[in-house]
Amino acid sequence: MTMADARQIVCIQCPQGCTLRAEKLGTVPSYEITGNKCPRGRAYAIKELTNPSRTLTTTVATVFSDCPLVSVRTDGDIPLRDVFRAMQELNSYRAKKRLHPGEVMIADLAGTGVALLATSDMITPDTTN
Amino acid sequence: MPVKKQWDVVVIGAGPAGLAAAIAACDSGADVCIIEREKKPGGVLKQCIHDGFGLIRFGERLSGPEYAYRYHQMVSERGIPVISETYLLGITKNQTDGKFLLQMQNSADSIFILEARAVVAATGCRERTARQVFIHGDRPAGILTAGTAQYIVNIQGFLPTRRCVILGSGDIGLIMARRLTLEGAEVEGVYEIKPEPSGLTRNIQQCLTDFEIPLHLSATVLAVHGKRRVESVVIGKVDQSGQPITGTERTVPCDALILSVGLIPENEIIEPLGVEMDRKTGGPIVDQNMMTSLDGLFACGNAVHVNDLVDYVSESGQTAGKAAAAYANVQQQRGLLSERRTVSARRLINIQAAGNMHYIVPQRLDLAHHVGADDGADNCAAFYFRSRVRANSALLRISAGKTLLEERRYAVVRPPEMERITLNLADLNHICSPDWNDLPGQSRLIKAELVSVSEGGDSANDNG
Repeated sequence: MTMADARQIVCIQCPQGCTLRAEKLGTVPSYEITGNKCPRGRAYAIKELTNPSRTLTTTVATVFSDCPLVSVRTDGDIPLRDVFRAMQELNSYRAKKRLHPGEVMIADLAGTGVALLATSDMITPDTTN
Repeated sequence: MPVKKQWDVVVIGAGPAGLAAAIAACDSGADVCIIEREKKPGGVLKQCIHDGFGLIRFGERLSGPEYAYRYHQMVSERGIPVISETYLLGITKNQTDGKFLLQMQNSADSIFILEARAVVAATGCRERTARQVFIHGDRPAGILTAGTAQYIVNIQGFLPTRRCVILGSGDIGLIMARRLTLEGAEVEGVYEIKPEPSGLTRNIQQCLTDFEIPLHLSATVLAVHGKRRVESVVIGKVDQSGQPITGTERTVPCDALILSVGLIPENEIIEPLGVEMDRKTGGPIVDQNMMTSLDGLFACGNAVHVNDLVDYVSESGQTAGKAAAAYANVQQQRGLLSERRTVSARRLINIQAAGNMHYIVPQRLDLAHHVGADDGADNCAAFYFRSRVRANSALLRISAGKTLLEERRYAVVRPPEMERITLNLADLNHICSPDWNDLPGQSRLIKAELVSVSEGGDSANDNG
């Protein structure tokens, strides 16, 4: 490695999957990002260098026998290092309210400040197809 | 409840393609219904709880169930009936009036017939199984496709493995590697027989790299061991021709082997009608209106060719639905007005995939009828293609005879990543008529050529 802070990153923001080259310049950091086809790529690359974060999607158990499982996602990214902690919290969680897709289930997931949304329909449920 | 028997358009399948087709047909004034074998619409999206769906159609990163829910809402708002838990046993076409007869079966109505002026096959695709990739050895429990594993985890809420090996680097396999890891299982590794991963690059990053799951290229499963349950699999490296290299075998203890080895369009229900198939895509040959070689029978989504993105599945559904409605309407008017009951003949020209183009869909253009998919772009048709090889610089050239219709450069093309282009057909009509028919047969096709400047070694597997 000639430049310690230069990294190759695959952008995950859209299906294009641009290969980005990201380099941190100086101690008061500024960033040089190349290879991105849109501004989201630049933002993603900087985030990857400073605090990699991801949308978490999983399932949560409910108290309803007609819909024992509901799929969920975070309303935005949470730090990658918090993903397993968030999973742990969700493993003991039981959803007690019926929600439409997109409605908030947990306002602040595992102290990340990011909300957890229901993504499947609990109002007209069916889990046995 | 007895089902209404006569329809302008019947859509087979309530997945993303079928829902979009029914909405478009309804919006074009057709009397349309959807038939679905499962209880709830949405198709495979119901179990695809990961995000990344709908970026193109909704400008958001939705999960599969959310994407399906939005389309289901649009279907409900229009009052389009979804006849669920109902099987289609077979289709025939009445040669005298051109109508389709669909033999249906469900528990409420037993066996019954639906009549349709036009049919849209939105039957999706199936996963290739262990038998189809010739894995030998024992047949214990624990060998399952990635889609089955996904259903068990995301719908049923069980974990089907504690430690598994994933064979094949298709997107569903990558998604399941992450999903199983999140739920506490250990994914020992993902093994891909080709020298190049078959899933999207971003899925390699966010599903494998993020969780430090190793990806082994040019490696495959040679044998499965286990009495009642999988106990281990034998892994080996392969050479350039895909043959196992002696001495590289390694036994991996695990309780499951998960397969992500490709998808095959599902067309068993329309094939008996004599529809022409494309050996490369595994689906029917269609024109830009998504009409198959049989007048009045349309196809869309993964039944035509396996897509990477649901957004394009919906797009093709929309085209098929709108065109089916137009066909049904014309057929109806003809039926009322005169003895001639069929639509005017199509003027089809073939599109030939040349050079490194693996396939292109649609495979034909109908110069006599064109139903544009989107408002404002009525003269345009969408085309989807895949490269046969990985290339760092590729040139796409579409030409009719000596006329160049489109030329475009691509920085990178990869077999796993589908490309989409639109072509203005107004130009084409100008070029091709009226003396097109005077041209020698050989020239009466459109050539879609992909030329690579630099080339990798891999080639795509035929899905046929």
